[in-house]
Amino acid sequence: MKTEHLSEDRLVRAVIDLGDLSEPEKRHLLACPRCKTEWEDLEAQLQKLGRTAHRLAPGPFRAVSLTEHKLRPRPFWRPRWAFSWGAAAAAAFALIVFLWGAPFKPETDGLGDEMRIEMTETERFTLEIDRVSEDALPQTLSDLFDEGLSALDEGFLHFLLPVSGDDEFSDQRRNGGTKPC
Amino acid sequence: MYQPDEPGERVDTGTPSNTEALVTKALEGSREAFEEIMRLYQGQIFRMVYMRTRSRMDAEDLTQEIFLRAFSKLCALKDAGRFRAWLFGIAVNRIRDHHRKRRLRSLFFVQPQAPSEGTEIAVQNPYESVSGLAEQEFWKRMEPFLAILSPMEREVFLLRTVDELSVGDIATAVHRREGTVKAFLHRAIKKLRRQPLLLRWLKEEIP
Repeated sequence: MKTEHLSEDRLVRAVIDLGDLSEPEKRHLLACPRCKTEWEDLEAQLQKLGRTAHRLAPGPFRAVSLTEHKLRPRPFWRPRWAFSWGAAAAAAFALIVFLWGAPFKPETDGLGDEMRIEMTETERFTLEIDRVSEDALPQTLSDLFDEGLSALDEGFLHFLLPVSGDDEFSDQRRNGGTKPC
Repeated sequence: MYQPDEPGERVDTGTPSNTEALVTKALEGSREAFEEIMRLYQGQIFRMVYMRTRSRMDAEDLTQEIFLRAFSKLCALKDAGRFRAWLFGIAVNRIRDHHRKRRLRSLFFVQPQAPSEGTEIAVQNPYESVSGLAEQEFWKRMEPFLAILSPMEREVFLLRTVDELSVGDIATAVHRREGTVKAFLHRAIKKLRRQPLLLRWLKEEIP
């Protein structure tokens, strides 16, 4: 009589969860030297792979700490949804200004040319002071630095890609990160 | 170097009852209990993150972030007995966010040339050069295999083989049903069996 050995699919299934095999398959697996060896070899390969990866991975240099970077509680006046709604409103406003710019154009205010020139000069001067106070380096020197990394800082990235939720276990919401509950 | 557990030691899944008791205490407001939990699990989480980022600095930062997040959301844990799966779930999410941010950065800006893997490992482990070389060799052989896996196949495979999570715990960590996890694992293991070079290397070279 020809013996029916377990297929590769059934062997893999046995490695994942022996309980998924039917009773006759289980009995065969434990009794048949060929199938049992294949099953044990596959188990051993997976264990060896995991053990090696674990053995070769470095350990941490420093201990984690609850005080090192304490999460700041979100202020009551700035709920989670406020930022995204604010950003959406700002974007909508910018779009309206862009599409229908004409109604927002300043009307002639009756000021004299001399006064207007002076105001423009003052504004330009103020902008220049602001620019220098923010970054005193000349443009040529600024270009030497890699602005790519600083331009997309963590806060901006957090805005673009909100943190994935870990709330699937409960309906309770975050409490500010200063205490467990 | 800070060593919460011995290097090379197999994953310490902790004494479940001990962890459960500590989690219960932490839920009651004991900061010391949570610090003890951090000490117990830091090594596991660090290695888990390291194997997915291959950067020690990122692994240090993300590990810190994961524990802070776990602390702030501990009251969301319904069953103290499932703490490990829950913690790994947070880690999976943080690592996913980390990779998304990196991809987004790379869309807009050219990153400065990263040091080659060998250089990084050598710098990271100045006193462990032999271990560093062995690690390079291991990942050189593992990466082609991991590259052919889908992201979810890769995640469940690593969670099962390296992090030693049960199918039920993986399902909790990745927010999928057990049957789905088994299907991903099934496909990943079958793909591993189609990697004769890796399997031969594991059999012949690894004690």
